[in-house]
Amino acid sequence: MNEDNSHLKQGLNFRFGLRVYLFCCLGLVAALPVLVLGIIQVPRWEAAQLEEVDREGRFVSETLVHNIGQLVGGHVRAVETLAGQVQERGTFDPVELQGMVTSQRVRYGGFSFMYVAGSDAVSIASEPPFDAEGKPTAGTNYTSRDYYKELVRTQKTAISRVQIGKRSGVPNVQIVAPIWSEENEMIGFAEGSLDLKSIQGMADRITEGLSGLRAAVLDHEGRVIAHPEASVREAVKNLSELTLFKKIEGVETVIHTGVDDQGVAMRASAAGVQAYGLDWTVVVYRPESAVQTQAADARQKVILVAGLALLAGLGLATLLTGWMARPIRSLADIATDVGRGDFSRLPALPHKLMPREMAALQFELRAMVLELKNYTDKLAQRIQERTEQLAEANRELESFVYSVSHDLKAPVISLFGMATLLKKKLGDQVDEKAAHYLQRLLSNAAFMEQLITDLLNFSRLGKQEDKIEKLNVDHVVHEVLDQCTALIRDRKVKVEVKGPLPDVAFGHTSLCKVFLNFMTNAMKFMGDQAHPTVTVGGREDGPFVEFYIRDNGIGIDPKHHDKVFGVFQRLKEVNVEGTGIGLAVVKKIIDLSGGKVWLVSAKGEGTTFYFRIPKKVEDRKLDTALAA
Amino acid sequence: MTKIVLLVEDNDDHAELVNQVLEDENIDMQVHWARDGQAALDYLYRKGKHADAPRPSLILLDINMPKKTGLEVLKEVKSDAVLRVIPVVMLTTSDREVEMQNSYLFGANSFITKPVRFNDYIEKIRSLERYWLLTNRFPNFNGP
Repeated sequence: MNEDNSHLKQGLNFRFGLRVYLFCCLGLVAALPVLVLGIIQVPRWEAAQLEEVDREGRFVSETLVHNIGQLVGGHVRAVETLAGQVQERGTFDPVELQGMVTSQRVRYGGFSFMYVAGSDAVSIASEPPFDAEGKPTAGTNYTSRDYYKELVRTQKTAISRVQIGKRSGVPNVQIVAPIWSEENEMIGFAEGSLDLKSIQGMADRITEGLSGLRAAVLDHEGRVIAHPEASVREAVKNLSELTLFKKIEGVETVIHTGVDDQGVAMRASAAGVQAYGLDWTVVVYRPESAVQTQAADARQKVILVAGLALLAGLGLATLLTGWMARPIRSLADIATDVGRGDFSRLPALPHKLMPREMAALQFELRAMVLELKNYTDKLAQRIQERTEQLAEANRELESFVYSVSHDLKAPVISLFGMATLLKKKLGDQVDEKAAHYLQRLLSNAAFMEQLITDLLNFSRLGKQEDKIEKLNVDHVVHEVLDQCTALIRDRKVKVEVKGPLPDVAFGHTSLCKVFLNFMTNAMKFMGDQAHPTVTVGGREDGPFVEFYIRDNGIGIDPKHHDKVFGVFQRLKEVNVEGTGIGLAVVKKIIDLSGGKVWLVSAKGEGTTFYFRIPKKVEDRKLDTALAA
Repeated sequence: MTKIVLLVEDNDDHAELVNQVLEDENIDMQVHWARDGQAALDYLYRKGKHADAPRPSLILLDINMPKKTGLEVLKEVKSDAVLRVIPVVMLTTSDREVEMQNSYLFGANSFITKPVRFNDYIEKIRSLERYWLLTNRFPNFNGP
């Protein structure tokens, strides 16, 4: 349960967040239908676009056909009206006729020329009355004209084939209507030359503003009446060779394709003008490329709309993922805090719009955090209580040690004093043995005093103020060596310091005590070593600073290793001075700093003592209450 | 004139040691020994048999004692308008920080830890005499 999961946690950083997964899923959901729809819809839309183009062409061509019918029909009626007027008047008086012809032509602006002729087909009155050279136009014989022959043949209003005006060079048609006598005999006819230039105007107007759309009108032979190209128009070209301009039989509008006179591929709607036996063809067409462009436009529109929809979908996905991932992220953060023992943040009560599973998770986590906090608080309280109890026990013990030491010291003082006095009183009267006993008495009293003092000092360790500061350990070691000068000289000990030693933050007095005890210990247990040597070294080891004190003395049997650091534990087999509390002092100092002390030794092979101290002062898990 | 010293000491042996030192070292000092705090105060306040007791020039005061501890005696002496001028030297086995602090807080003039080695003991008594009885000067208790 107590696994160290910090490295596992680090792996979390390399994972994708919930947002990424949710975003991918929702994004896919949003994108898929848009894409599918787009793929299906693009060709459909293209077809619809083509249909639209054709519908437009059809409409334009049919409108043009209708308008041409209106135009021609209107002028037919005008000519028939003129004929009717003459018939009603029953006179061929040139002056009267001239008035009628002129007013009729003025009323219908489409006529380039108008006249009334008698039964001999010679014009009696005409408008305009004079031609370009100033010659009168009346009196012209029209018997040779086809429309006259037709009139005579059918006895009905007739329309000539398209003629190219001799003077104007403009295409026109002649409309003739018979004038009847009361006896039902044809006594003459009225004629109007309808200038077809106005058809060009109609075609231009109707295609105006419709991009790329153009209209052409051809007569029964395929000659151009109206055409977007002025040159073609003026030359009155015959375009019947081109399939695009082929003649349409019947009244149905036909959609077809072909190249125009410039060789450009066109898509056309063609319709026939059948009114009054005209047998013309109206072709409304636009370049295939324009149609393609429109289809491409349509496709682009689809893609644009699909793209916008996709963006909107992704935007929505972002919002949704944020909405869904945020509470989970927040819960994860809180869980991390709780893992660190920080209970300051509590998961909020779930919002009523929160999904059920999330709400359950949040609710449970909240309950868990509350429970855990409660538990931790209780535990902390219990620890606090126990610590206080322990501190109290410690204080009692401390007090006990003091009283005992006081009580012990008093008899020792008496003992020492009395023995000294006794020695003084007896003077030279005592024999050698008595003097020896007396001396032993004094030595033991002194030793007893030393024991009490050491014990007192030991119990006071960690209680005294020893400011933690950054220490140059080389300096500390040399300071300690100065204190050991006498010992070094007496025992002829060679001391090697493998400097520079790493610095450490520690109490100066405490560290001096540690080195002093280790070094005097090493020097004392040299046995009969001919070249006693003590080596001091140190290094940094991760979060610790480690030191060692090595000697080539008598060594310690591993079975005694666990006793080495005990209070007043001494190896009985060697006779050295001291109370045997030195290493216990060292161990207590190092333990209090959260460090560790140990040794490597075997009998006769010297001893190496090691100790390590945490570098960071805050790592020294020293329970101050326990230390007090 | 022989100076009078009030020795307040519950330990017979220690009192005897002090006396012996004075005797052995020919120190001119008359010791009045009180065995506990109450006895010391009785002497100082001239109660009962001490009605005619002279004022001591120095009080040597142990701390851990029955009836009244040294610190209690100290407190009373130093809050008495007449007695407060008498120098009080705390002489104790204890070297407890808190006792030292309290002693000075209550007006002790000196604090000495009893040495274990007898020679040190002699030396300390000597220096006490040298300073408090021979060097230091006191006002006249019997009035100016």
